[in-house]
Amino acid sequence: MDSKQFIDQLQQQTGFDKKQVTELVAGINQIIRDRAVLMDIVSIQGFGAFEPRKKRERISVSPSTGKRMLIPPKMTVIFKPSVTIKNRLKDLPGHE
Amino acid sequence: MNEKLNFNELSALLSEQTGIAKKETDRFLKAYFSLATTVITRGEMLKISGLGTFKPVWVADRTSVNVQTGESFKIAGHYKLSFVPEKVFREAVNAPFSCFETVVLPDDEMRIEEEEMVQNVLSSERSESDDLEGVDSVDRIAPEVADKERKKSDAVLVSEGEQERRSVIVSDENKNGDSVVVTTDSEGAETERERMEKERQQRERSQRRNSILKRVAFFLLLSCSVAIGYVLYLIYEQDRIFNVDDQKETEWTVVQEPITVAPADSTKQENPSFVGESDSVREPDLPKEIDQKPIKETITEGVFLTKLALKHFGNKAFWVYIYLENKNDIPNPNAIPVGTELIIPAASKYGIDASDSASVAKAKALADQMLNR
Repeated sequence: MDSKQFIDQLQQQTGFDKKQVTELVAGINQIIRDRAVLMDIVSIQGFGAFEPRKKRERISVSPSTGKRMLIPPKMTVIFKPSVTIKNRLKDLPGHE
Repeated sequence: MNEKLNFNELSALLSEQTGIAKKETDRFLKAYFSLATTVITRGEMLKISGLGTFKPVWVADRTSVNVQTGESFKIAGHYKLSFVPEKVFREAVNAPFSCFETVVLPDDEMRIEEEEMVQNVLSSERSESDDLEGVDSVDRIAPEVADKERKKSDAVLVSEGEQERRSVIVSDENKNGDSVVVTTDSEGAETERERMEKERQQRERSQRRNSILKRVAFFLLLSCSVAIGYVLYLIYEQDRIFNVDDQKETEWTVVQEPITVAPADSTKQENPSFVGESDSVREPDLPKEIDQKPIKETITEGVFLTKLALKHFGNKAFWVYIYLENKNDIPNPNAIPVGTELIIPAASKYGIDASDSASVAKAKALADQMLNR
């Protein structure tokens, strides 16, 4: 499902007008982003948590050239799904 | 920093930001997350622009080993959720580290880098203040090192390179033990500042290395140009001496060739009658000079014609006149036997004048003639 469908469905469920929905979704994303930049965790019960993580620098070998490279450290955001989501995903019928 | 934001706080912030009542935002947020949950748990991919993409990923069956019993067992295939943040999001979060790029390093340098990393980790583990001190001391040492570098010659530089290689080998030996420490150090235990500090150190190190290399190259260049300049100067000087002043050269050879002599008393006699006798025998012109204080010198060890000339006439070049005066007694002006008595002619006889360059030049020309004969 892409963003447009997601917003459309939200609009149907909540009854807000489209402009408001777009604004709210953008607002939520903005807050999560800003908090992640401040290294804050945004944790929503039943859904999961957005956690900024520091990744250590590492030396990796490029498989194509065989050269060893120093990968710089970086900060990323990981999403830790809640237990409910995890369990429900596990219960999904098997793959092919 | 490292705070945890829950649903309520998120809702409050959202209502503040959009100006919509908190009740409404609560409702909206609930709908937002429940919809997201249902979409995801259906096994569908969910893309929210401005945030990222949630995607359930299939993990295939795999076998694993029970750590306690050692029995192998099968982990069934299942879905796990992957979240890929959008580029805007990613870059915003990584902003503090955005200056770094992946570097492909040559083997040697990379090993040093690794070693430094290990050292950095160890020092940062000790304490942060220690770390800062370490940085300061390194900074203080740096100029001294640079100075030393400046003074050192090429050979020393080469030996330094060898030392570095040796240290690399040592670091390789140590690496295995140290890397264990690195891996046991959990990522979460490190604070952000430590990490930043480490990065700064690493950058400083590489910068320092670069600057030292630059300096070395510069001084090699400088010394090369100086050497070339000196050689050119020497060639120029030699040409000048040979072309303009051949006499000077010959004079020097005279000065340099010692007269083999045995020790003897130097007696400076002022005996007009004796001189008169000897002079009358040798030189017909001399009687004139006898009246004008003729001087006698005896050759002793370390006394040469040039030395006498310098003593009596004020310029070495006039030795040739002393030689002319005593030609009969001197078979070889470069090797006069000790004890030979010489008559020093009066300055006026040959027009000797040390302050007149023409006179000096004339004497030199004459000496040249005599020696080449």
